[in-house]
Amino acid sequence: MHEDSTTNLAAVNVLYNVGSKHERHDKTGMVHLFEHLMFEGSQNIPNFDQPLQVAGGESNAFTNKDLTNYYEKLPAVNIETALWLESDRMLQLDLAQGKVDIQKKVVIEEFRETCIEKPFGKAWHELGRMVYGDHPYRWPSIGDKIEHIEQAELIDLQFFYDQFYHPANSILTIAGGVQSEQVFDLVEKWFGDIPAGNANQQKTPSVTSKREFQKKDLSAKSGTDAIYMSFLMPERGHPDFYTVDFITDILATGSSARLEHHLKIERELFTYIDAYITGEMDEGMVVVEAKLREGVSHELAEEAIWSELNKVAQEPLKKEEHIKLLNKVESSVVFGRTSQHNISYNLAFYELLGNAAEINEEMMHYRAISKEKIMQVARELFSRENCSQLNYFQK
Amino acid sequence: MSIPLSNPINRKMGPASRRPEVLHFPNVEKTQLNNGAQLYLIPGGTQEIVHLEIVFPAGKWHQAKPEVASATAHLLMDGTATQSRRKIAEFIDGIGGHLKTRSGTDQGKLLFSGLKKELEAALQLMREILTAPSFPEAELQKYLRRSVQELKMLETQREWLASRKFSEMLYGLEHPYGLSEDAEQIKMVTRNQVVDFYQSQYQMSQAIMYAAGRVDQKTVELINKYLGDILSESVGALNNPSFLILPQAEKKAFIEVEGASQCSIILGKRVPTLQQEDSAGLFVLNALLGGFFGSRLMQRLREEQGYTYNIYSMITDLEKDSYLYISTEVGAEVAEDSLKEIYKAIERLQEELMAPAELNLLINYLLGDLMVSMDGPFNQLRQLEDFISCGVKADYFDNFAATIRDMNAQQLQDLARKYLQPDSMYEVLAGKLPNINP
Repeated sequence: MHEDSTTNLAAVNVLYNVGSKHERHDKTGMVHLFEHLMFEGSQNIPNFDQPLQVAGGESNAFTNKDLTNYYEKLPAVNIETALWLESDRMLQLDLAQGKVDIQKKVVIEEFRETCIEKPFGKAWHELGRMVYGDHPYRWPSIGDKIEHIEQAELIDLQFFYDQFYHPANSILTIAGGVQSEQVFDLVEKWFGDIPAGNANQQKTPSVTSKREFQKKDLSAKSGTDAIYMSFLMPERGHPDFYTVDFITDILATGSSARLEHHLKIERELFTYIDAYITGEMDEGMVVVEAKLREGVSHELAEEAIWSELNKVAQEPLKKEEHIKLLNKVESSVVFGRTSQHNISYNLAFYELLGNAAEINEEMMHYRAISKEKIMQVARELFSRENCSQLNYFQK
Repeated sequence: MSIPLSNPINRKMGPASRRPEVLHFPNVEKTQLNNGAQLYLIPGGTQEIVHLEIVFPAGKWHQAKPEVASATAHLLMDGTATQSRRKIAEFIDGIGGHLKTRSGTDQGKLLFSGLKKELEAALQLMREILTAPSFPEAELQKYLRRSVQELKMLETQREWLASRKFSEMLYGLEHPYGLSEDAEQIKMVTRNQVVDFYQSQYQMSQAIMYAAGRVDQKTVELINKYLGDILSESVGALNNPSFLILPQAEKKAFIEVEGASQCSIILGKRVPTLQQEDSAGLFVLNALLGGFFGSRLMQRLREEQGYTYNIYSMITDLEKDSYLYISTEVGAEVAEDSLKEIYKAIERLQEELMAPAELNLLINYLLGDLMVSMDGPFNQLRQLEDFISCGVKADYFDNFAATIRDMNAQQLQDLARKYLQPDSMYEVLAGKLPNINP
């Protein structure tokens, strides 16, 4: 819990330790489809949203490769309504074929809208296949293909509910204008008698796909050529995780960052360029994503990006730039604390990683990064064998 | 905050909830800098953060040639008499802040957010940007080249094409709200046009400023010290033309997009502005139609039919006009049915009185939503800025909240009959339609 007496709102967050990496490779997209069904009524509450809206609140959820996360934002005086709703769908959801049929259609439209109709919507499917081989991080959480969603059956979804939607496999966090003692009593009241169940023990394997340079050409009706370069990076909890994140800050955080300044503004090779980590719990990706200026070839684009990546690996970070980046990280931590919803989700995520209290240690990890470490990690990361690349050509 | 006493557990009934309280807009202090610029002060927040916005009459509305407003806003960040683009960017990143310019239909803005301890340093830089921009020719050319290419990208996107066509139909091609520039026009922007636009529209005496977060009298003094003595050379030359709205005669348009598996639908019409009667009532009516997850359109097209991932209606309040529109992406095979369902939902608003339970839900949801929009200084800033831009004062909020609370079913039906006649709607479809003859 995080108390904040300056607001009269509250955020309630329920995280379940189940993500698309827990799916079978031939039945993907089930965890996300199931997330939709969590809003379709539980045993005692036929309509999830109505009582919440009557209480002046709203809710939403998201699914990623590691987890499924649900949340409500509402006036703090009505927080008990959110606890009632979340507890009832944890206790006993009311699944039915008719609801499944409609949400399958909704998710198919979501798939079309985000992965088919968007100019580079297929990029995540393609990169996943190249980077992850047989590992279940291969498919995005929306699913490997539309057919899997079309073929989903009630029993597939029931499985995820029975297996993973238990108190022992969930984390409840609350932030806002409420007091802990009162809230703990209410949580006990609504969640206390739900059978604990088991925590998710399923371990995902390490990525074992062979590391070799891979490249694929694609075409899209996009009005521009583009390039995606992806590098497999260490899991969270690995000592180098924060260093890799900091390396993407060197490359792309702020309008003075290297890729933006050197390649977009000075050399005018790109109209857009960014670098970021995907941030999964297991081995995630560093992605460099860029749109090419008209007339610039993919070879030139690739060479220019490599020259910036190599610079991080070969030239020690100057003190001024180092301080600039630490200030940038620090202010983003402070800015992240202005939203109750952010705070409650971050608490839950750190708890899933092992300990919610670690949320206060974030800055320490960044401060501990040395310039030698940056070069060493960049050398390991930015090797040609570790690179998977998509070249997009406009149709 | 005390939570109501809890009753014994009853999973069927659930706990009783209270109607969200109707808030008053906090007292906002308004002051003037020495040069006449207006400054609103919105204190609060838990972190040592300050947001500062400086708003100028420097939008598309005020430009003599297409794209000039946007180019000027962009180029302000690209160099001053003593600092290069890179120096400016490095300085701001170095203090962990954000500084950017924005331009839209009605305004040009300079926005800063950062740690309070860095405000003075940021103000020094903002002063330099506003008084001595160098508008480098080379940076202008780079900007124009990027803009041409970005436009080309947008023109491949169905939703964007539909929305551009919709604005044209509503306002006509001669109006800043209806017009969008083409590549040839973008290429013709000159540095002289940018300099002229800057001189006439970025006059500090005409600026409206908002400071939110950890702000107090000392902050006002600091702002006055760095921005209060900036005097414009060309006071009086402010360009503020008027335009005729000439809607297109044809109310329906279809844009064929080969190979699309979905179809974009956008439909809507002009509605009263915040300054006119009925705006608060229309806000409620719009919410009922498509303004939240429990809305009629979302429930019907998504939750009952599964036609779409998302459908919404919203009212856009520009400085001098407002319009309501409904927007969705639907499967091409259900586009025709979706359109029928949308009109059915509109007709239902006119034909049926809504049930008391639905009205109660709607009002409570909206009052809760107002609490969110008033939560903390940064949300308050956004809300206040919207009001001021549209020519109403902070006290508008109190009437607005009371109108929402007191709305009844009859009023909503009357408003639907008055404003949402299906044949008054403009409609654009973009995609591949198997069953419709355009």
